[in-house]
Amino acid sequence: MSAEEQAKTEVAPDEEPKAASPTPIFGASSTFGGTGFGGFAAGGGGFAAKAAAGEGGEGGDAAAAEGGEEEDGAGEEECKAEFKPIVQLDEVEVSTGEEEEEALFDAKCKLYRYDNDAGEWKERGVGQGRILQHKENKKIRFLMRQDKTLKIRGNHIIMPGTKVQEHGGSDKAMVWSCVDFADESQRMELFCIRFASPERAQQFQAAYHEAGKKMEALIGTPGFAEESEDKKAVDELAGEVEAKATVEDKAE
Amino acid sequence: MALPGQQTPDGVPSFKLVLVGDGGTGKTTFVKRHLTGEFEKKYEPTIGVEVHPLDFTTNRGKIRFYCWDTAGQEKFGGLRDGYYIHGQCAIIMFDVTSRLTYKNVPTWHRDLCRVCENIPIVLCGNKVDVKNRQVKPKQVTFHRKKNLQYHEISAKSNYNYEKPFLYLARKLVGDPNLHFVEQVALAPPEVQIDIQQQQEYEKQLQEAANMPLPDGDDDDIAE
Repeated sequence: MSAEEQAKTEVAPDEEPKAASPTPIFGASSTFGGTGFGGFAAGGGGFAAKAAAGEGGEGGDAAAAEGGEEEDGAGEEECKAEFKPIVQLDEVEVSTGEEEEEALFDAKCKLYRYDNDAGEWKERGVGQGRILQHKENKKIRFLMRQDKTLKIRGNHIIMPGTKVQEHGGSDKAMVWSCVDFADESQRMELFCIRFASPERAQQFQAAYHEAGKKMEALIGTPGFAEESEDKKAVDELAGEVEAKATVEDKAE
Repeated sequence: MALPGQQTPDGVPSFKLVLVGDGGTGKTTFVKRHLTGEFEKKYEPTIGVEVHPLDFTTNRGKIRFYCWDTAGQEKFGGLRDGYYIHGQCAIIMFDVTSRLTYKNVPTWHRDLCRVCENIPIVLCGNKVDVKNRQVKPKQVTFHRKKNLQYHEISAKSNYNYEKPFLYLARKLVGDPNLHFVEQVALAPPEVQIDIQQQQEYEKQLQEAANMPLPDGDDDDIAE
């Protein structure tokens, strides 16, 4: 029986496969949740064994897992179905927002953010992690884009005095805190960035610290900025207290 | 939320995407992966439906999928047909490590097509990173009979994870060469934080620095 025929008999569109009790689905899924994927596959039981027997010893599982269509190309040809488009959109000029910047650091990385509520690191993206300096105003930022979709996963000015330190469990990873702007609102983040090698991680650390020094020369020491909103608020409050005190003095 | 086919308040064209498939095939994990970048290992069945806006930047501007992530488990199903109404595109997901989830694909397809006639649909075989898969590429034939696009994906390793959205965007916009481009990186503001706050963050960072990173190999960051 060819693979296609076999699949036809197994997945006839008229079948009512959902008549099967939902219990096995739930059971399998729990395994998936608890122990990861390995446990799930092993938990297939008789079902899996039957499936393997029907295939006449087809191998190359690992190849299929890594390369999908490379195994036999049967799966992923472009579908020829035609649909009426829903919208008409004109071609636009692409703006990266980085046109005026040059890279001081650029390497493949995986970025994580710390989830305070869950108390664990969560993946934020895989792609190029870069430190960029603006050619005109000289400001330096960290920018990280997701591979393929090119979405922004990290975007913040490198502030003077920010310490980048090695992750406790990996010499290929560095951690730091910042106020990030990736989703276009300000969010306090603890980030961890992991590279292919410890050397690359150290280069990143050095580049980030160097950028912090350059930014200090540009905008001053952290916490003592003249234009800080906090400072303004404090000054206003002090002014009010003073005015009030004066009034009270007079009343006495 | 904008109605299907309408623009969002900020003028972004939006599409309703219906995401269906058996429970545990990785629908929610796949959406989260695109949304926040995280890979969620814990399995918590979706109850009813969760709607997430997913934005992509293309050479024809920004577009948004309102992704209706539906419950795969029968007992948490809720409205079903109600979720499909005005769907403009869809993803049917199965798990290549579970033959049953592939066997159920025709049912999901039939239910979907009863409500949404002639919309672009991508069939996704998820978890192809797992070595011992039970549904081989050769055995996946349903998409040919029904004229669906098929992609093998892994939400865990990111393999082909952008392809389903790319295919749907191309069909909805009518441009076979549409592609993703850089999201514009706005200049971030300089944020001054006071020393006390900074010290608090440093303290949190010391704790975080000793928490393990999620499992995973370095293949995807190899240089």
